[in-house]
Formats: sequence, structure tokens, C-alpha cells
Amino acid sequence: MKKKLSLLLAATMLVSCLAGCGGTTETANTSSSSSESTATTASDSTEAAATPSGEVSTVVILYPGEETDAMANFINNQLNPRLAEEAGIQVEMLYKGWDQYWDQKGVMLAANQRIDLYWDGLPDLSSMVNASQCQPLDDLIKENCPDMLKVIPESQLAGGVVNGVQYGIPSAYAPSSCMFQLVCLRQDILDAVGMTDVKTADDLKEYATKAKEQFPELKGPADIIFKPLTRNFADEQYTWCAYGDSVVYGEETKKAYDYFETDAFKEVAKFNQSMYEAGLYNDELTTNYNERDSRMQQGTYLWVEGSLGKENEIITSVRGNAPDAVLKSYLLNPTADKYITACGGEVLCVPYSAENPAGAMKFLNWIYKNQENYLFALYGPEGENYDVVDGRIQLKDPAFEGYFYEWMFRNANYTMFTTDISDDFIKTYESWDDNAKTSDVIAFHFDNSNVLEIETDCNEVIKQEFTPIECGYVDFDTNYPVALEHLKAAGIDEYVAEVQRQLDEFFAANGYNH
Amino acid sequence: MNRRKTKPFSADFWVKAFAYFLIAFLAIACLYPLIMVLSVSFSDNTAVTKYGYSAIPQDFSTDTYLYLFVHSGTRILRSYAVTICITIIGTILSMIITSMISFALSIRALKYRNQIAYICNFTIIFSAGLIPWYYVCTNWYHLTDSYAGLILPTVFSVWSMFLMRTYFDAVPQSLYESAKIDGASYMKIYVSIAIPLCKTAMLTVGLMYALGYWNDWWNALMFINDRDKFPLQYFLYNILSNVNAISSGRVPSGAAANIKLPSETVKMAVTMITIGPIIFLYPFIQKYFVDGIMTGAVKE
Amino acid sequence: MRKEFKKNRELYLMCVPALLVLLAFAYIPMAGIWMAFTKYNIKDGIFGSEFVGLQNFKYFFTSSTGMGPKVIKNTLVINFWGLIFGTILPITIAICFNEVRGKIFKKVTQSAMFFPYFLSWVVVGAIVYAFFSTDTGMVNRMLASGGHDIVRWYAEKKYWKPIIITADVWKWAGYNSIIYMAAMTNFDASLYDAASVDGANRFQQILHITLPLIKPTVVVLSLMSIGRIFFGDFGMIYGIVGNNSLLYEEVAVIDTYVYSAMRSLGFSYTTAIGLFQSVMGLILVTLSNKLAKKVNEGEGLF
Repeated sequence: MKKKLSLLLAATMLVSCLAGCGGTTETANTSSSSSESTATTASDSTEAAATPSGEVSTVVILYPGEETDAMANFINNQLNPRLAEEAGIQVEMLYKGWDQYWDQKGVMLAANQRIDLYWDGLPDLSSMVNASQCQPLDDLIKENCPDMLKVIPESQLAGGVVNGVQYGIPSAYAPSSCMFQLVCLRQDILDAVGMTDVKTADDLKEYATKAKEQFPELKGPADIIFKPLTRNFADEQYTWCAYGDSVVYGEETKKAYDYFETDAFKEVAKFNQSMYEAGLYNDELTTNYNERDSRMQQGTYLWVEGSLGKENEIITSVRGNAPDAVLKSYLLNPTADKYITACGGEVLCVPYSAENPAGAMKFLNWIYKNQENYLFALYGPEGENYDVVDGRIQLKDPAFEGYFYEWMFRNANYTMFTTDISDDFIKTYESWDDNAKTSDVIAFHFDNSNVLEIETDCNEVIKQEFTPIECGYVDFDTNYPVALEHLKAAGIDEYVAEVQRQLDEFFAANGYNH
Repeated sequence: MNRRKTKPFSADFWVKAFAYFLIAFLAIACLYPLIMVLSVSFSDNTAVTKYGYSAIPQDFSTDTYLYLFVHSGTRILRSYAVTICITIIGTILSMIITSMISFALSIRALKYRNQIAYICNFTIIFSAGLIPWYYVCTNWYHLTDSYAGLILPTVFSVWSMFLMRTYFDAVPQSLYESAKIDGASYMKIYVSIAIPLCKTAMLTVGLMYALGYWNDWWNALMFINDRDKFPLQYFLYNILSNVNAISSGRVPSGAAANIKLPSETVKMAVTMITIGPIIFLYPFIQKYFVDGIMTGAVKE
Repeated sequence: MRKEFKKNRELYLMCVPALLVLLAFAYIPMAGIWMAFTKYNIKDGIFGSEFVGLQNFKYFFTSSTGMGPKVIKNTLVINFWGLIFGTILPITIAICFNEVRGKIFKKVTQSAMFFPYFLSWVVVGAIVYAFFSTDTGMVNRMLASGGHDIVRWYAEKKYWKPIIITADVWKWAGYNSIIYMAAMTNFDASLYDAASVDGANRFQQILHITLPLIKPTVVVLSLMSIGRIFFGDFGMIYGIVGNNSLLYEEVAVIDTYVYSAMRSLGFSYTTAIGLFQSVMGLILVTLSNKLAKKVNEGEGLF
């Protein structure tokens, strides 16, 4: 009896599985045939509309994150028909989760998988060029992107030039001075402890101390904020200009320095040490340094490093855990010069394995053609997920995340704020770069191919010995000399010299007189 | 089987006592974290981040599971179906391929068995790395977006093969000899003598393959882009992948702030969803192991 | 040789499907090992890139930070103790299961011990954190309530090799014990009966019957692990410790070092180190196999 029962159970399971399998394949067929029919309709309408290109080509975009039903629906049913009609292309998205995005990108490009367009961080452009992961775009841009050039100026495009060739398009164009130098803190707690402004590191310390007394259940700062603190303690603007944190460029002295030998670094380290000694810092600021944003979003921490607009980016998550939270960003050392240090943080590239590079460029051109296209790509058709009210976007569902990532395609000419952004912020935003100076090294890309091994050695020393010092976790006076000795042995001087050499070449080639 | 009376404080008693103690201790050491996982998955996330994990749910809520099922909709069910199919088909295929070679290599009379074993073992030690393997799989074997890509690359596990071979080794070869004298082919011996004698072994290795297929997300990561073909583990892995990405520090800050971090409770709920079906199925399979051990050596 | 194939043709044919799979997925890609000896870049491909001989290996061993030898040591230590305890514990569990009675007790405990296998290392990391976190961790709470000083676990590197080895053994104990239990079902019950008639107590029976009979299984599994002893478990280290700079020196294994530090150096370097790991593993397993054959009546892995 038992045997028959288990046999029956197994048979039922098998049948249901096969049905499930069949269902899967069927659905797959249906979805692919529906996209095919969309394509056919699109090409039909293309021919009917008599656009110059009679056929529709596909553009494969490698995209970080997870595919959602909403996005899939948007791409297939709303975006692609329009793209087919207006630009003769249709988009196929290839999603890879954040954790694996860079590894997968590397493997796929190495194996010549067809990808027409992908995103990466602008600081990595030089190493991507060395790894032959992006092809020159000068001609492609000239032929396919007349509209894009109207909203992305030459100065911005210069950020994607390596050795005189345009290898990528820096796609995030927005006011960005003082990048990473702001401190985004809990304004509601600042008010509660009776402080009104934060201008110096000591102000921060006072804030943390008072917050600890009044709110013992909070966990203090989320981040050791070494970049804002560097701004606070340095006499001139230090702009990081190589890989990792090791080399800075002094904007006034016009030279490259080893960051870890500067006086500013020593001050930062000692300040952080004093914070640990006063019991204001949590261990995790050192042991889990990279998770500072997630700590901040837990709602139990006081401040985190940020750039313009940080408070808007994380407020929803913070409020999810601390409903009364108010965030505001402060600039330490506010009277010192503000510098624009980079052409945004994002770059879009076309690999050599692309089969439709022109199509990829056409896609970008389409997005940047006018504000309507831009908002369509980011939020969908007007009236569906949002309405435009007084020049602001009013989301119908506040949980709506948008379609294409706003931070990836951000363009100051087209940006429209949502209704939950305060007017104050918009005023700040619009005048943010007004008195800012442009860094000398804004378009400089350090080529590390001559000093790869030294760089790796130095990064190991920095990771193991300097990070704890920088975070203030270990005693500065006992550990710093030893660490510095190891750093020298790793070849930091040679590395800095190489940076300086490339800087001199860069300045000479671009007509700077120093 | 005779139930021997254990004399108090004899050597037998200490052995028994130690055995009970160890098993109980380990079971608790394994069960307690599991209970924690379960309880966190039913807790309120804010409480968990404030007070840490505990064995009792804090601010009991089913929000996490609701969120997961709403967020994934019917996709989770589809990925269950994909995984179940792949597991069944893959396990059957793997068992056939593996047991054949294990049986063959267990025959002492096979002259080149050690050489073949060497060829197999070599592949555990040497691998060319990700890129050549990926290149060959996608460009030559066209495994991208195919169910074959979820099964074929891992269909034969050398480790399982060697394991099964040791089980086959335990069968007295004289049984084969007598069957050969009666004119049976090796295939027949394999099917009618070797396999029935090693039922528990078959189950063990079968279970391992099945679990391997069930838990696999690597093949999906490499080959599957079409969401309809996502197996369960890859689907869930994607939910958790944001966590790893952020801690590695590679995500640029523009994006990092926008990544929806799965909360602690989501991490745990995802784990429970993975384990769920196994918890239901395992007691059925388990009886073979428990019975086999209880009665000593069971030869069926 | 022809004669052998003719005589045992059937058996060799039974090996063919498996060998085909190995050919397709292991041996053909192995040609890519050539990358270890070139300066690989995407445009020139694997076989078109410039040949540089053993240069890619140099950096790993001679870097000024001395990380190469250090991570080798870490990898070997963690894997060695993981192998030792990861063999002793499952065998002990399997033997103990033989000694206990009670159907429900056995079912529940066996299921319980099996579950850690299902936890991904990220979740195990979260559990370890739940135990060892400085402010909310269970261990510190116990220490505090007992009147002792709390330990800042995540800042003290000396504890982490044992913690990682324990986590590794714990995760696989139940799964591995099933392998031994399955082997034990084939043991001849009459041997035990004969022994008890001769007056041997349970402990002696285990020592003189069970352990020798289980030796072949232990040998095979251990030899396979030895072949991989130079390969660190990347997911395990990252899941449990993450990117913690304070613990890095003690827990960095070859694979994590290669991934985090040497990734920027390019695929050639990483392939070269993978080759080094493989060659070392091969040497060790060949030697161990010879040794095993002496101990195990001429039956080794190959």
C-alpha cells in the first residue's frame, strides 16, 4: 500500500513538473512571439511612417540590477515601439545583479559576448581602455548624436577622453562641485540637541557627544567621513586623481602628493581616533567601512558622507526605519573654495564586441533629444505614472521607482524634480556650481599600466595598515611610522612620481601654464 | 536485532552516553541558528536592526513574506517549477552517467581503471579558469538562455563518481564472477546486481546531485538572461545580491544610495523559502538512512 | 591494448558519456591555461596575446608586501584543519548515530544537522554576526551577564581562523556524515555479533571493526580534498568576514587575495595563480595517493 502511494505521489509530481515545464516553455514562446509581433508592428509602422531606415536594429544594453515586470513591460510595450518609429532601433536589456555586475561584465566582454552599450564608473575608464573594453566613439558620436551634443557640452565629454580619444560618454551631467565632501546628517536630531549649524570637525564632535547623551539608543555616526574631514583640515583643495585613495592633487600648489603623508591625513586620523576614544564611533565604521550607506539607512546613525542631493536619495529608506527623520547636508569649511572635480561619476561605453554601435549611439541621442524623451525614458509616458504639476513631477504612486536609472542618465538641462523635493533644495541645486572652480584634473585619467604591481602592493599596505589608522581605530603615533615605512617599501614614491609625470604631460597637452 | 542490556558505567554505557550527548549537542548547534533564521524572517526589520537576532520573533509580522511574494508575483512559482524540472531531469541524467562509470571503475579486472580515474581526478585539480570555460560554453556549445545550460556543465561530478565507486567497491566481486559464468553481460550485472545491492549509496549520491541542482545559481548567473528560465536559487540570489555588492564597496555612491537594500528579515525569509520544500521532502527520504543504520547492515 | 578493449568493451563504453562531459567542459577549456603565460588582453584573444613566460608568477611570490606567501599559509592552515575536523566530526556523528535509539529522536536530529548545508555563506555570515557582534551579539551578552569583559570580536584577528574553520566544519558536518552512514549500511552485521560474543565492548568494536571498514571512504574523500588544498573557499571567507581590513591578514586566502588585489592586474595573473594552485594540488595528491595505497591495501584514488 505504501509503495503504491509513493508511486502515485511520484507520478503526480512528475506530471505536474512536466506541465510546469511545458508551461514555462509555452510562456516563453508567447512572450518572445509577442515581442516579435511588437517588432513586426513597429517595423510596419516604421515603413508606414517612411523613416529613413527601413529596418529596426537591436541594441543590447548591459544593465545593473534586477529586471522587474514593470520595466519589462515598459521596454516592450512603450519604449520599443517609440524607438522603432523614431530612431529605427529597439532595445534589449541584459540584467546582471549588482554583486556580479563587474565580474560578469569582464567575463562577457572577454568572451566576446554581444553587448552594444554598458555602464560603468567614470573613474575606472582608464583601466577599461587598457583592458580593451571600450571602443573609440569620436566618429560614432559625430554621425549619430547631434542632439545629444546640445545638452552634453564639450567640457563634460572631455571627461571621457583618454589619450586624446573619446572612449566613453560621461552621462551624469549635473551640478557636482564638492563631490563626496558633504556631510549628510540627521537634522531632526541636530535640532533636538539645540545646535543650529555644523561648520567644522569640532562641531560634528559636539553634535555626536550631545546626541549620545540625549539619545543613548542611537549608534553615532555611520561613517568616518575622511573626504569631508580632509576638506576641513587641508589648506588647499585635494583632489584624488589616481586609483584608490593614495594620490591627491593639490589645486593650489599644483602638485601631486601621497595622501597618506599629507598633514591633512594626519589630522583626519587623529580626529577619528579621538572620536573612538570618546566612545562616539562604533567598531563597524572600521570593520565594515563600505556599508556606511546601509548603516545610515537603518535610521539609528547620525551622519554619512555625501554629495549634492544625498539627502533626497536616501530619505525614503531612512524614513522607513525612522519615520520622523529629516536629513540635511552640510559643507565643512564652507568658506574654502568649491571645486568641480569630475565630469559626473558615470560613463557609458561601447565594447569592441558590439554589433550595433551606431544603434547604441542613436539610443543615447534619442534620450537626450528633448525633455519629453528624457522624462519618458526615466518615468514613462506623462499621465501614466506621474503628472507634471508646476514644473515638478508628481508621482501617482510614491513607491514608483522609475524606469531607467535617473542617476545614470541625469542631465541638468532636463532634470525635473519630484514634488517631495523642497524648494530650498532646488534653489541650492541651481546655484550650486555658481562660484565653483573647475579642477585642473577634471578630465585627467591616470594610466596605471606601468605601475600595476606597485599599485597593488601599495593598496595592500593601505588596506591592511592605513585603513585602521585613517578610521582612528588604532593609535596613530605607534602605528603610523611603521605603516609609512611599509608604504615606502611598496613603492609609493615611484607611484606618485609616475602620477606627477602623467599630470605634467596632460597639462602640457592641454595648454595649462604652471 | 538483540537489545543488549548495557551495564551501568561500563565501556558500553560511556559510548552510548557520549553518542547521545554529541548528537543532541550538535542537533541543537544546528537547530538554534535555524530557529533564529526562522524567527528573524517573521520579525519586524526595524527591531532586528536595533536589537540583533534572537530566537523569538520581535514584533511578529508576516510583512517580509508578503513583500517577497508580492515583489516576485508568480515568478517565484515559475522558478520553483523550473528548479523542480531541472532537478529531476538533471539528477536522473547525472545518476545514469555517474553510476555507469563508477561501476566500471570498481571492477578490479579493468586494466586501465586507474588511468581513467586519474583522468577524472585531474579535472578536480586543474581548471583553466572562468573565461575559457565561459567562452567555450557560450560560443561553441551555445548554452546561453537554454535549459541545457542549467544541466550539462555540472551533469557529471567527479567527486560523486569517486564516492559512488567506493560504495561499489564494497560489493564482493565474487558475485559478479558467478553472474558472468552464467553468461550475464556487465550491463546486466550492473543493473540487476550492483545497483540493488547499493540502494543506500544510490540514494545518497542521488540526494547529493539533487541538492546540487536544487541549490545551483552559478549556471543560471552565467547562462540565463531570460527571467522565465530563472531557477529558484538564482531568483533568490538576485534579491540578496545587493547586499554583497554594497559591502564589497564597488558600487559607486550615486547608485549605492538607490539600491534597495534587502533588510535582514528579507535575507532570512529568502533562506526559508529555499529550504522550505526540502524540509517537507526530506523526512520521506530520510527513513532509508535511519532504517539502514538502525538495523545494522541491511542487505535487500 | 586492443585485446583489453575487446575483452572489456562494455565497461569502457560505460565510461564514455562521463568522459565526454569531462572533455567538453573540463579538458577543452583547459587550453586556456595558456593565458597564464601571456599578457592577455581581449583584442588579441587567448592565443594571440604576447608571450611572457613565467613573469606572471613572479609578482605573487616577490611582492614587497609578502602577501603571496602569507595567503598561501592562511589557505593551507584553514584547509588543513578543516579537512581534519571535517573528517573526524562526520565520522563521529555517523558512528554515534549507530549507537542511539529512538526513531523520532534520530529523525529530528539528523534533519537538524543537515540544515546548515542549505545556508548560503551570506546567511552564515549573518548568523556569525548575530553571535559575535560587539554590541548585540549573543556571545558578548553572555560574557557581560557573567561579569566578564566583552571582546570586540570583529576587531581581533586571532579568533577568526578558528571561527571560520568551525563554521566550515559545522556547515558540512551533517551532509558529510550521511556519506559515512551510507557506507556503514554495507557493513556486515555478523562481524559485530561475532565480536560481542568474543567479549568485545562497543568501544572496542568501533575501534577495530567500524574504523578499519570505513577507511576506504575516508581515504578517497581525503585525497580529493587534498587535491584542492591550495584552493580557498572564496564564498566562505567573503560571506563570513567580508571586506574587514582588521581581520584581513589572518583570513585572506589565495582566492580572495587574487580576486581583490590582483584583479586589476588582469586575467593573466589570476590564471597564473590558479595554475600554481593546481600544480601544487596535483603534486600533493600524487604523493598522498602513493602513501594511501600503502595504508589502504593498494587502493588509492588512482
